[in-house]
Amino acid sequence: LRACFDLVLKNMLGQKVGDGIYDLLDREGIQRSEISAKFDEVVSVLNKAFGTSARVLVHKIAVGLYAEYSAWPKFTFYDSLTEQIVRLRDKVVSDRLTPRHTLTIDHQSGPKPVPESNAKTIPSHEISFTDIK
Amino acid sequence: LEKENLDTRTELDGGSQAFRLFSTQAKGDLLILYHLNPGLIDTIDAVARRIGRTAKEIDEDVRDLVTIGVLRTRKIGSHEVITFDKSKDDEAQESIVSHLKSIKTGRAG
Repeated sequence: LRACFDLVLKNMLGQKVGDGIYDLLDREGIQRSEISAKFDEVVSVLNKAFGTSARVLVHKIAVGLYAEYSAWPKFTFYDSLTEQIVRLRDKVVSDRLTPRHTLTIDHQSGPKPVPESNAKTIPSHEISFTDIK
Repeated sequence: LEKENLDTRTELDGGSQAFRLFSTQAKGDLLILYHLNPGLIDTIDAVARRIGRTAKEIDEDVRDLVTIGVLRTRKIGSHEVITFDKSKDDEAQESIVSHLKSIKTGRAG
């Protein structure tokens, strides 16, 4: 959610306005790391700053978030957007959806260990030096 | 047309600019399109296609962004094209940042 928020701010309003919004959020007691946890408060700060236009921002963030989890956004501009984000969170938990732009635990911890039984079927280019004893 | 655009441009304060700059979804899409492709020069039909809309749908929003100054229209041959005005966009951003700084927060005082 934080990454989507950051991307929408940067792409739609530019870096300067994005930094200005982060500064405003900071003054309201919301740190960058808390944007996901305090999203309701973030939305009310945006409403205070931009009035009804804030909805365009929040809608873009919600659509971007659904795209990140390859989920179809079945909501319109006028639906409750924070509710849709909560709905997506539930879907992510229940369907074990992973975001497109985050490395999996396998990628982070190096190459997968090759099981003995499958070792012969794996193409040579996928075997790293660590697998050769 | 260029002259007409300059004449109709209005000086807005940061708050009004922020409210008008992205008051509709189409304006939001146009801003994203031009921030990601600042050198884009295209007709309104082509621009509309790029954001998945029709020229008729975005006509009013384009006019409003031209009035604000972020977009400009130019005549190339028989075609009217839309371009992005980076300096005006920077000015608009500065103006919005000033507006954001002027907002009194709940924690102030």
